[in-house]
This record gives sequence, C-alpha cells and structure tokens, in this order.
Amino acid sequence: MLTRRSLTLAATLLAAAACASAALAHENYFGFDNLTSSNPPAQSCPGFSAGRDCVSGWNYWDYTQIQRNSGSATIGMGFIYNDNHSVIRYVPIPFDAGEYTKIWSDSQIYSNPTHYNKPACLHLGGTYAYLQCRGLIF
Amino acid sequence: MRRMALGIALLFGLLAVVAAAVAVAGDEPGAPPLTVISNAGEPFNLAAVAARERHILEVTGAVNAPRLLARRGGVAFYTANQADGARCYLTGSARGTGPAFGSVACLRPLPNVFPSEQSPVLDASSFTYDVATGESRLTSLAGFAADGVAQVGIVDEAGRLHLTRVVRNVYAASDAAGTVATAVVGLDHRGGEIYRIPLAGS
Repeated sequence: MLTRRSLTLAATLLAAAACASAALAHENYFGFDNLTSSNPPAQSCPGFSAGRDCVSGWNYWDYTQIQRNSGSATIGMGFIYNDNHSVIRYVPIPFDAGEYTKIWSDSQIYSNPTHYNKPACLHLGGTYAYLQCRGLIF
Repeated sequence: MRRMALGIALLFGLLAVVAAAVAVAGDEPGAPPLTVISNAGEPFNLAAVAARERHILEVTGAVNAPRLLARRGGVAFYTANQADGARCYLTGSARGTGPAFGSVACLRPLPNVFPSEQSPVLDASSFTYDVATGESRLTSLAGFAADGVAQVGIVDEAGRLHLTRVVRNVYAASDAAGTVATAVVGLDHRGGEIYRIPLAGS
C-alpha cells in the first residue's frame, strides 16, 4: 500500500515537473533542412528575401532556438520585434554543431524589446548549414 | 679543429631543420594555445538563482557545474555542462546581483568545436539585419575566446577593424555599436587573423 502510494506520489511529482518545463507552444518552423541563400524561398518569412524564415505568427515567443548539425554557412538566429517588422535582431551562430538558444528579453540583442515577436533565422553567407529553427513559449 | 667545424655545421643544420618544421606546422613555440580556456571561473549556487533563470538552465540542460567566468562591459559570462557531456556557454546581463541569462550555446563534444584551432572564438555578439538595406549593424560585441586569441572585433564596410581585447577568455564592447559590419574576426597575439565569420547578407 505504502509502495503504491509512493509510486503514485512520484508519478504525480514527475508529471508536475514535466509540465513545469514543457513548452506551451513549440514550432519547428524550418528544417531539419539545408539553410542556403535560396532555401527557404522569398516570402517564407513575409517581407523577407530567400534564405530567411520565421515562425508562422506573432505571439509572446520566449525563446528562439537553432539546432545546428553540419555545414559551413554563416547563419543568424534572432527575433523580429513588433515595433519594426523589417529588422531581424540576431546573433551569428558559430560553425560548431550544437544547440543555440536566445531569450527574447536579452538586453544584449535589444535594449528595449517588446515581448510580442517572431523568432527568425537567416542565412548570411557560405554554402549551406543543415539545421532546425524553432520558436518556444513557456 | 676540422671535427669541431663539422660539429658546428651539424648543429646549425639541425637547428635549421627544427626551425623549418616549426614554420611548416605554423605554430610559434610558447604561443598561447587555441584549444584551451584557462579561466576556470567560480562556481555559483543554483539554489540561489531566480526561478526564471533556473528554468532557462533546465530547458537548455545546462545544469551541471555552472560557473561564472567573468563580468565585463555589462555582460556576465558563464559555463555549464549538459548531462551528455555537451559544454554550454552562457551570457547575460551583469547589472543585477544574480544571473540574468540571455543566450545559451551548448556545443556537442566533438573534435574541432570551440575551443579549437578551427574554432577559437565563440561569438555571442548581437546585430540587426535590415531587409531594406541588406546590411548588418552591430548592436553589441561579446563572446568567448581561447587563450591564443588576443583581440576580437568587427570589420566595417571600408575594411577597417573595430577590435576589443580579450581578457580572461571573454570580450565585450559597445564602442562600435551602429557600425555596419561585414564580418567578425579574431586575431592572435601577433595580430594575425585566425578566425572570421562573414556577415554580409546573401
């Protein structure tokens, strides 16, 4: 009985922990695929040329994230904030394979950000990078 | 006498071979390595970190052995490990008393990832890309660098360098904010370029 109660309690705690860290929204808006100067095509992110992509809709996105697996292209990852739809505020992603995350409120990327935004990723030079671009809300 | 002259000639010959080998290898004896970060930082207590910051660490998996490397130019620099061995490098605002993370880069434990000769700089600078002009403008310069990197900066449209010194394996500056940048570069202690990320829009 005690064991069963302990198991139930443990399961409840695990579920609570999972809920605490699970994203309310998670959109893989590009990839896994090769990000190049022509992929994705123009207007994949409305108003932007080929090689740029962003999530499908404006929202209170918390994180912009890239999982980079291979390739030598220079790429960037960032946000389009609601106060200027023609600018992507980004950080360049190094050539190293790994997972890169940027938080919307980081004062380094924008001193006075609005939370209403769109995560975006962009090709900046070189041939290709095989990756996935994501937006997350917690 | 002839034997002594022969010995001296052999010695000079040997020195010449060693010098040539060093030149071919492209490595200066005594030069700081590009594969090492000497600054081990100081541990900080995860329990004392605010809930929002702890959540960032949990979501990214950067929860093991967190350390504060340095605070510079309003930026705090951290490292931590993921359970699978990936090494994470974090930056955030240094204005408050506790961590306020802004970016997390977790690199897979593979050969040639930072810090390495192929990748001696892990840049975390911020830029704006304007669709109307296709230009990238610097917002703030910040990042991590191996022992062998002396300066990191941007190259502007005219090819001029806007550099800042690497101190204790980190760099941060905002002097060149607003400058159109075509690349991020890293220089070694002799002023030679050893790293470049092109930024020109495609």
